[in-house]
Amino acid sequence: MASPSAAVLSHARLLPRIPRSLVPAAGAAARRPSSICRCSSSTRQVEPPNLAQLCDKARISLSPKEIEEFTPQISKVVDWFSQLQDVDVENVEPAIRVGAVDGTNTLRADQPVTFQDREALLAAIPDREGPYMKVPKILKENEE
Amino acid sequence: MAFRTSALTLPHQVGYAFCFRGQALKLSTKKIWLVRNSSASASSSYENLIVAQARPASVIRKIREDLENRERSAVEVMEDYLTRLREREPHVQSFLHVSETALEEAKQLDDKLAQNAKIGPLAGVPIAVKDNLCTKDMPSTGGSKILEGYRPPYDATAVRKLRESGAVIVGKTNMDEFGMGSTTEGSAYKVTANPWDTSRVPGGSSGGSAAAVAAKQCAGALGSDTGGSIRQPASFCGVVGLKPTYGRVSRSGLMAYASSLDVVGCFGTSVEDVAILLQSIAGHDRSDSTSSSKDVPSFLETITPMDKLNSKPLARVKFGLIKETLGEGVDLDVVTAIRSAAEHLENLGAQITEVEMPKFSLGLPAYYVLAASEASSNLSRYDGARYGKREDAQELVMMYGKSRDKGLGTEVKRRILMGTYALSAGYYDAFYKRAQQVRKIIQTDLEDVLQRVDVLLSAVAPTPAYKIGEKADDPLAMYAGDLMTVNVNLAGLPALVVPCGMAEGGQFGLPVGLQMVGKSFDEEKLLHLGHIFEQTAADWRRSVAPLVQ
Repeated sequence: MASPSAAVLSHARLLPRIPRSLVPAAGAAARRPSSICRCSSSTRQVEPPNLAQLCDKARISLSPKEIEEFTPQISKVVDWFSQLQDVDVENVEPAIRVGAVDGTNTLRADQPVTFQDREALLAAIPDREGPYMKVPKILKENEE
Repeated sequence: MAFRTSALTLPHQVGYAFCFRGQALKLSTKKIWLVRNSSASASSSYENLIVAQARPASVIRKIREDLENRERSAVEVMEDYLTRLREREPHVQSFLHVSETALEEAKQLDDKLAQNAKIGPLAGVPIAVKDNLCTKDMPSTGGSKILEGYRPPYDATAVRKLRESGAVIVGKTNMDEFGMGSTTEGSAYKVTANPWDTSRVPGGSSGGSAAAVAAKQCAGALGSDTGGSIRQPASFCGVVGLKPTYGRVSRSGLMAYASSLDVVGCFGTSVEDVAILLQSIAGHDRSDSTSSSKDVPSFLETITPMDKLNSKPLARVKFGLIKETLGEGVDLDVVTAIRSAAEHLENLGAQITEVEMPKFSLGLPAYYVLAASEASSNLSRYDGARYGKREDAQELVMMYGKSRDKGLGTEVKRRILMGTYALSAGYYDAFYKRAQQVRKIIQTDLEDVLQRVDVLLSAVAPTPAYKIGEKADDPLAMYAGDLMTVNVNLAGLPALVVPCGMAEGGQFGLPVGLQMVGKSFDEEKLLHLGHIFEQTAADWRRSVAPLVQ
């Protein structure tokens, strides 16, 4: 049943502005022309999403099949994001948070406080040896 | 005349002959309901005619009165709810975990009552909690496999405050994984059904909480709202839902999805119940640096008893009806319901103006950029190292990769990757900063309109509850449904959803909710007006969803 959501889609400019083929080449991350930011000169060109790189950054090991499925979906949403580029944001301060910062009550005294239930914390560790949490070794190339 | 509320009796499908369909039915204020006496007294095979209150009444206050008058014991109340919970659970599937100690806690309360000890304002009241709020003694999974079986070492502040008020946490409810979704189909465990039509979604991400309240499996429930996750399920399930102002309720113990947008809120079957719950959970918390130190007023005092009001209780109140939420693409039944609600408010003396917000639709992409970006950061803690499910691997980074791939669901992974993209080095200006600027524009627009009117009115979603599986594969189609709710989160404003009509669909129709958006920290006004609306709505229909037996 497409009609209400399809109408809302167009109403809210949810359709990608730049129609393009979204089917990626089999196996490889899609290489498509970059979406160009048509806004102020301070924003540079952005590359389309390279899923393999993003997976590496986000530490999620997607299977090749998942990469293939996700790439068009994510590209479509990222294209949809680009409608924000059309908005005139001249002299608009970014809203880092809602409302004013209430500076009076955000800090407590710098004194250590003991958490009462250490055992519950330690019990959640998947692989534990005494007070240590055990994990596989880090490969040299992954050391940051 | 004394009457029992539906907490005791099970209004049955027998009473639904007089239908509704959003048409103006001039009904008298009291209706006679055919109800089947649910008491377990042996062979109750005959029907009792009981005059029940036609308006939604506070279930929580009734429990309190019954306990104080010793009319019912805490154990009786709890058994009543637990029986209903178990009976309806196979159809609704709203719970991921049911408390094993609820009856025991009720028994302890009875002991206290026997000694005439002081009891809290929510003593003996069964409340369900969304599974992304930490509970020390029950698993808290956030709807995700990566936290399967995880037992937090502490209670979320909102949960702790409920417990301190005497409430009994009856279980943890199902939800879209980590709050990402609008249908509860995104749960890694199961799909919750809408009690009004079990082939339809209850909404999301707090679908389990909304369904549990609609199915009377509990007296009230906690949920969380980042982009509409309390309000949309409240609309879909025909219950009252409140999204407080950002900072009104502590987020400590709420599994973070988008830290600048998340709030903890509540569901109830009446506005008064929601006010009672809010009273209990609101307040400054040292563990949440974004919680406000503003005074918590008495929300209960704003719930004016109906006999104290004159015939035009809303005189001088100005409402602004947001035009963009009633236009093209919105279901006709939804528009009719909202416009009838507006007309009703006018009959009570209010002044309704249509307001135009031309930048309204920009909120949706701005919201998703911000939410995905913040989520990509917040969910980086789920790596299988210190808690949750860990996958075996030879090497650390592989362990992270595999644990997150196996443990996190599709929508969650998509959003993390989108957020990672938006926050990539050098892209800050293009995405995150720009979205924050659009956010500022939306905030300013809403604040400007709220200078001219007291409360904004809108629909909650473009349609009533849709079928399970309908929005499965297209993320953008699902995001579209959030159009009417996200701007409120971007601006951090409070919003109340009250059922206001029915749309066609299902066997008995599907509920439609009215969204009332207030000024920052002005929950009092919302609750006051919502209560008056609820108690005077012209063609009020039964407040209980007809469950499949």
